[in-house]
Amino acid sequence: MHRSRQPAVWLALLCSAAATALIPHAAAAQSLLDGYWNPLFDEDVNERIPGPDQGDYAGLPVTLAAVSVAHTWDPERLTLPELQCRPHPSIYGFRGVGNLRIWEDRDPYTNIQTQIETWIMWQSQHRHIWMVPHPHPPPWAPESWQGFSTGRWVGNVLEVHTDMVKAAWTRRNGLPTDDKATMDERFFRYGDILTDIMMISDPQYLSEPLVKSNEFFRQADGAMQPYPCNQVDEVPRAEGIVPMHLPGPDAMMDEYAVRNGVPIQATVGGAQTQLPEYQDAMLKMPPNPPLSQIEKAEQKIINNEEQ
Amino acid sequence: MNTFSCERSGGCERAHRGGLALLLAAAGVLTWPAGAPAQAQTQTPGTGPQSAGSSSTDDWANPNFYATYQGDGQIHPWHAQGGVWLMAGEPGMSNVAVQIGNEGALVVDTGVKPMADKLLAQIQQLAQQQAGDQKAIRYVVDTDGLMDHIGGNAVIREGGSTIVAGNFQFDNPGLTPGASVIANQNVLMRLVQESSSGYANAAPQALWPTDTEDFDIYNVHFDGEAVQLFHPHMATTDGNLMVMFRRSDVIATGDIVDMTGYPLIDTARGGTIDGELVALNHIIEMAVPEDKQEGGTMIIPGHGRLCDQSDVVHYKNVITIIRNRIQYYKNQGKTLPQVLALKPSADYDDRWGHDSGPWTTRQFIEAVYKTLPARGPSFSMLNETVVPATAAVAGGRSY
Repeated sequence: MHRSRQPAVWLALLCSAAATALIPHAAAAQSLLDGYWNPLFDEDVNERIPGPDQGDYAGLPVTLAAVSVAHTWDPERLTLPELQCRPHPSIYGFRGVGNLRIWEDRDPYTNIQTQIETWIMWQSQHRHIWMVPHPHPPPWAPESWQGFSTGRWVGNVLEVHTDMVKAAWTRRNGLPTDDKATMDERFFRYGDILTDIMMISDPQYLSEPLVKSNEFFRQADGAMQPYPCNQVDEVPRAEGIVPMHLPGPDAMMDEYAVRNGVPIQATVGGAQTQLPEYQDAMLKMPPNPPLSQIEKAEQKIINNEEQ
Repeated sequence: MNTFSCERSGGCERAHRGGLALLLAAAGVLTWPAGAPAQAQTQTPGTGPQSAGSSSTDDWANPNFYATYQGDGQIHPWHAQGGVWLMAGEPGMSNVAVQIGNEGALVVDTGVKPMADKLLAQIQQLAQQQAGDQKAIRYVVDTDGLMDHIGGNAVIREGGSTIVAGNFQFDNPGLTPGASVIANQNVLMRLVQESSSGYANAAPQALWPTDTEDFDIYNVHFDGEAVQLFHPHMATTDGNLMVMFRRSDVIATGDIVDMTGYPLIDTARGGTIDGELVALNHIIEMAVPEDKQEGGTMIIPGHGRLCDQSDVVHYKNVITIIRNRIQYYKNQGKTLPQVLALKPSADYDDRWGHDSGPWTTRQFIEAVYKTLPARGPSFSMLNETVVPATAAVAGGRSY
């Protein structure tokens, strides 16, 4: 019985070898990213789900200009009708909520991979990553929330470069990017885990690239829901109002530091605050004022404004 | 057929160059005769009655005040949307918008003079490609009177033609008038004033508009769509026009939106920061994004890339924030040098400011400071900041 099976086994091996030889070598090195992915929030969960506190910029290589913009920012601005339906820009979107769908487009004749497209459910963030040469939009073309992305495979790692993104944000507490910002990414897949490493450069608001990683878990049965959005007047306002904080000491910006026992100076951020040795410097910083003092100052601001 | 309607404050007054313009020029000659004192020859333009209170002088003595052509000599047509194209130039050059259809071409601004011949050739080529032969330039709209917007007026006007009634042709055999050059009346008045006062960089008469009006909204139906001209009051100047192509869903804003820098608020020509903000808010109201605050109405700025409502919202927010900081300091009694030392725009300057060139950050801060009241609203409850509404701008009316 055993011997009688040998010709069939050899035939199967031969067919298998022939089939393997027909698979393009480059494609064998690529990862298949297609499918539906759930974001994992085991990293930076407080920043990504409930949202960061205002005044918390520690550990980020932000410039003083970025901190100044963030100190001006008021969360009420998000109630302005013209801002309500904004999606996340591509330089933040993979850190946000919502399922991710990835699919590839191939030329129907050559089967060359022409694009990889991504879609995040929240605000329908749809992105095109060009995998074949594609003309870069000229300087007079409009920018977009997702920008212009080109990609290439290096082994089984997808490298992506993105520019022409509208002025946006790196954190939801007002830390800005301007439209000169660019992003380089690396996508890795290990089984059912997809990792996206983002490296964001912004000559005005970052003193060095901001590096973040985001992970996703593959869904066996994926689905993508629509995400319609319509503007409404949530808050009655006169024309032209822009909710903002004015210059000067602002107790509201210090509350995060005082509540969490972090020196106020450290929460302002900067490249040095990313380094482990910065903890030694924090020990030498002056103590924070008591929380009661901060709350009193905040109440005074509110009272003055209500007058 | 074109249909015109005019909704304005004081009746439709059309000032043809041969009429009011020459009258004003004659008056200017009487005021500044040959051999007038040297200071008269270099008098700052725009210091007539309409700019009372304005003290901007150094700006106009600067020969580089007007944007100069810096590129390789190419004009780049880019389809904005519908029947409208953006004729993009090189850095420093103003944008030109062109609407093309069966009735011919309507051109918004004409760029700088050195590029005019190439601009005309590109427009004619585009018109032929899109609408076939015999499609002439019928209208030119000047969004203001600065030289980087009207520099090509003579060439573009002469390269086009106006369809005229039979009597005119009988009376002037063989004469075909060029395209009609439309502007706000204040533009012509200031150009005439500058010319007659001996201002060294005054625009020659050939660049002046031929049809000027005093209106808030001016409606034309051309190339199968409604074309609306809006006159924002005292924005970057007192003679701004914005053009909305309703079917194409495109707005050409002139210098009210400048994607290359802070708005050039020309206080000598009646510009004010609050008028600028009212105009920006009006653009945001008119523009409708397609989905997720993107696309939809396309906006051709005076300078820089094509944009949509979100880009204008961001621009308006930046300008509003800087305006409010300066008003806040001014309310504290701070002088202009003190405000300049506080750098109220520092966190936006890398993107929008300029240390040199025709419009610097310092000039922008000065213009904002000068045109804000000594005391005014900077914020109200919960740090919401109030920008004066339309009624707060001198001459402002609801659209």
